[in-house]
Amino acid sequence: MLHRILRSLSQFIKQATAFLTCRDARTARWAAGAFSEKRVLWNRTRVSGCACQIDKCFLRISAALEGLAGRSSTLVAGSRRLLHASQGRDGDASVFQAAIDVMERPLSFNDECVEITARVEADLESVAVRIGRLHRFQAKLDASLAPLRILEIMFRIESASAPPGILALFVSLSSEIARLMEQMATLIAREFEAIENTAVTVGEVAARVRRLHARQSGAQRRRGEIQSSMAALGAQIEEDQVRDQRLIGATESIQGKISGLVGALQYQDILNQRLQHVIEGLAEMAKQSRALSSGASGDVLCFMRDAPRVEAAQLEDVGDTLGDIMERLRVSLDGLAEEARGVGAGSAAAGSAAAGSAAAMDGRAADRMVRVLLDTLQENTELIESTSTQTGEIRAALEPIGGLLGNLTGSILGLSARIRLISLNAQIQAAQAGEGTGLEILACRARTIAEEIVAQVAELAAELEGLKHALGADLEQMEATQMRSAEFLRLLREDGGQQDARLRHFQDQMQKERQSVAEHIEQIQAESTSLSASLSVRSTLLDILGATRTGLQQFSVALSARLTHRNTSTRVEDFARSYTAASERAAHHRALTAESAPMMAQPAPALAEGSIELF
Amino acid sequence: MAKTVITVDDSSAIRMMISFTLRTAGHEVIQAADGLDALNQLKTRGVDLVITDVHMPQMDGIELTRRLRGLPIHKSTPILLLTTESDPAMKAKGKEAGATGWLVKPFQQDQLLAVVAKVFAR
Repeated sequence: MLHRILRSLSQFIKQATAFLTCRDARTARWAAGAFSEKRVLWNRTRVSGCACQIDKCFLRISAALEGLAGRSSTLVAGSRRLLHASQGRDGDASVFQAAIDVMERPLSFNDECVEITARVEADLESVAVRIGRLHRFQAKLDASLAPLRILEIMFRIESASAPPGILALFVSLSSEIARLMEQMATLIAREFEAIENTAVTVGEVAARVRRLHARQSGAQRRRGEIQSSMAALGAQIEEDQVRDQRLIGATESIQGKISGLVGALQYQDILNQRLQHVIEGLAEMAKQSRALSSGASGDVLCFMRDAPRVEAAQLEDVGDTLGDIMERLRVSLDGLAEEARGVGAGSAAAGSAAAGSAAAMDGRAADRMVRVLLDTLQENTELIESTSTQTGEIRAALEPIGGLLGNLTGSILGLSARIRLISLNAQIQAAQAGEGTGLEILACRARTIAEEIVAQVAELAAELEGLKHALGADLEQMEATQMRSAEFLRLLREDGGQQDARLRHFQDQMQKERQSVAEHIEQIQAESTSLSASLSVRSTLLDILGATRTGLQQFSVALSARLTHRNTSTRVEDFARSYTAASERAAHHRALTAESAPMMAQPAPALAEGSIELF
Repeated sequence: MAKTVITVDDSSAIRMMISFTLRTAGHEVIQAADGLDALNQLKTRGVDLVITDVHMPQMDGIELTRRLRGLPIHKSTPILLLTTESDPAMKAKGKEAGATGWLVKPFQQDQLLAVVAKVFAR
């Protein structure tokens, strides 16, 4: 009985031991499999989450970059337009310069007019001096004719006591002298009246010429103002161009930076592929772990030993790629921010400089310059017309003087000859009347007077001749001046309309360009502000990427740490070893794991970066 | 002289990068999200160059190349395959399908411009 009881007990213990052994082995297999599967699933979820987060980040970066690229293109276009506008301003300056060049001719006419009027003024002064000399000549002539009057009186006195035969002679001689003197007085009075009139005309013309002179000087002064304004404008345009070139350089640099960012995004594709490899590897690992969970625990051990290493290596690779992208993004965005700041500052400077330039060219300054040009053009035309008319008037007034002086000289010379004749006649008559008579004395006196008069008249005639020549030269000079004035007037009239049209066109063009420059600068400033605002997204994006990378790194570190976790691995190893005896199956499964490892640890495709092959 | 290029890739970033690079060089660029989209667009219109990714949903780059070569207007259109792989077997498949060249990602923008210029000069 006892024996049966003991045998039954022994059998129960055996059965219980077998049951417990079986249960523990099942439990161990279940525990290892469940642990492995759970871990792999957890890993998958975590990596998928990272991949999803990275993808979202890249999508946002792509969108931000598209916006940035669009804005930078607008910026570049804007700055190019600004440069073009600046060149347009240069073009305006060329138009302006061309207008000045066109104006050079009328302005040189003006110079010539100044010279002409100065010469006319000098001529008129000379004429005035000569007219003064003519007045003195008149007094001298009067003085010269005084003895002749005395002679006439003496003839009259002598004729009272003269014999009848000689009386007639005395009377005729005195009458002739009186008639000659009357003629002379009439002639001189008439001619000096004409000279007086001419003097008045010359005085009036001289006054007008002086007024013209003042206006011409004003035109010359304004020309100086225009030229100095042109020089200031040229300097302003040069400064604008240098600044605009800097601006376009900065915006082009932004484009370059954005290219760099876009290049960085190329890695998105690769990163996604690598993450896909990780996810596929993890799925394969889950599958393997399920298969292994029904097999020997030694295989689980091997699997668990290798799997984290594979995952860690792959995740490290992904982390490196992500780090590379982040670094490139960071560098590019930093550069972009710097360039954007440059563009902002440049566009602000452009705004203020353009405002200064616009102020220099705009409104009063430019309009004043153009108005001065147009006024000068108009004034020169008027001046030259006026000068030409005045010169004609002066010539018309001076021409008779020459003739009058010629007549006067001829008359005086004729008078002198006749006086000499009278003297000779008186001498003949005196010889007939007998010596010692009054007639003889008078004849001698008449001869003396005639000789004196002849001498004086010769002297006066010479002086008149000189005056006549001088006036003739003055007239010729004035005629030449008038001809030149007429020629200038013709040229001015030919050019005037064209210049006026060009200047007005220039004025319109400047107005348009000013508006255009202002619009471009406003646009650039707006774009620059917008770009700066867009750049603010960079910190958020980089933070998200940074967090993702940190997560991946921590995950990778945790996986690596699991490899070296002595307690866990020892416990699992002991656990597995105590319940597994099938070393052959373990070896078989190790071989199986080794076969699957390359697949799970499948490295990212070998990259021959940038390799190109044309078939 | 400006040419028309179609870029076919399921990655918007890659499409954008290629578009950006080629537009900077003065070319006109149109985009397609996969082989089928590209094929639909290219049935009725000609382009000067096709740059296509190999791995894409719906229709891959190799199949797109093969189909395009079947269209009379694209018998001689240059086609560049763009991929992260440099596997000789894959290259041979591309060549057999009628591709003009093979470009491995990632690449520098000047490399892309150089190969495009080379293709246009042919």
